Amino acid sequence: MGSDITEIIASHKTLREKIAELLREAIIQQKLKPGERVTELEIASRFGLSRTPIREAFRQLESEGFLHIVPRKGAMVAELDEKDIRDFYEIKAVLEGYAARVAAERVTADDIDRLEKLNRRMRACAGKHDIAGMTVAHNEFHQVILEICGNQKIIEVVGNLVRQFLRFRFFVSASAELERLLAHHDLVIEALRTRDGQAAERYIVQNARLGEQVLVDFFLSRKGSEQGDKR
Amino acid sequence: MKIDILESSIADHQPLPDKICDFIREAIIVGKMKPGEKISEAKLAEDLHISRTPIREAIRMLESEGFVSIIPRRGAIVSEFTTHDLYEMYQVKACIDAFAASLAVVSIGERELARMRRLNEEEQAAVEQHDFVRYVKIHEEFHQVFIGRSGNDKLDHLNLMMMNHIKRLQSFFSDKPEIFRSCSATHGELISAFESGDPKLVRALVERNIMHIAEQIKLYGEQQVAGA
Repeated sequence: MGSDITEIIASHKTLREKIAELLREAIIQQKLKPGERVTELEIASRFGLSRTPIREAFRQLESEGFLHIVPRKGAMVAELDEKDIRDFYEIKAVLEGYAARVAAERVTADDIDRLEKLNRRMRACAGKHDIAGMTVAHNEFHQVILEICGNQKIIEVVGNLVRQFLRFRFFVSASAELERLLAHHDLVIEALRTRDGQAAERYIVQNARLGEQVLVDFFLSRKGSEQGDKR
Repeated sequence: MKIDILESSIADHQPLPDKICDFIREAIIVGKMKPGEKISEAKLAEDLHISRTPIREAIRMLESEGFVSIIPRRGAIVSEFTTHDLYEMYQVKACIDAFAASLAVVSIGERELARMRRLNEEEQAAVEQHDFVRYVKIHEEFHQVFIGRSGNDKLDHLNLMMMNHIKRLQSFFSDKPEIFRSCSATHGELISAFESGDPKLVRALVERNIMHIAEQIKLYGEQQVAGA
């Protein structure tokens, strides 16, 4: 009996969430670099917090792929390598492709409207070099397709995977390939409108493959320049 | 329930929160902890003779795995898992396993094929004995042979997580032979497709096979609702 521990967990949620958000943003913006150590003690003393919510935030960020926790050594910012990127996009392509195929049977005129608006918003943001706005619209576009399909498990699995790659989303949205990515989106919308599930799947898979290529290129060029720095 | 979890954590070199997480997950999978049941940190701390902090961490891990839901002002409870969840999960599995199979075609050798043939025989024996819980287990082992050869680590991990959830509804399969009627026959076909090294055919067969299971589960779910 006594005090309900689960209440304590619930009350900690805000604090934990705030710490997680803070660290997540720092990692996305590369203020904390891959491989860098993050200690509970340092964060606790910097913000005047107890270590428990920090530890919970670390666990959350570990499950999101931002941190890597080594027993008895502590946490460090997770490194992603080329294989992680390829593995991720393979799964994303498969599940989004299936979702698009199912979505073609279920799509409504309102859904098509929403997708067209999002694509227009991405183009408008691109014109203003508003990369953050573009990224939000981009994520939403893909989310809408999963929602039309309606399989909650796919939404959850893809959501978890995408979160691990959030720190690179800026580079995809800002890439020179943006017009091609948007052209894929147009093709997906057209396929959904004509209820051609196979075409919708094909274009969404091509879209994922292009995203993969952009990130792998970015990753390899960054690695190259890092090695250059060391010389 | 007196288990020295601390001792076993030290012995296995496994961090305490992970050990507690495994312990609670197992209790949920085998149904010792029921959907909707409150997870009391205080009680766990008492039963396991440990402090609350690692338990709290374990609960957070289980939340991200989907075994626990945290409800504001109510706390942590064992999450629900319905036949609809099972149906959706098998749809995901159909996509993932089928894709894994197409990737595995190049690295499946005679050893893996022999294992698949043996498991296929065991599957058929389980069907004849009407032991469908065992069937599901062997069926999964069969799939694990090619998923393990896909070369995509995330896919492997994802499948493992899903199987942990699917195990919660193992009893669902125990009296429903129809679900698997066509499956063990298809596995024979699948082995031949692996032998011929045709990734497209392999992918199509696995997807069809598991989507069929998904549809059967959906049908049962609808009958349950209609019967209620």
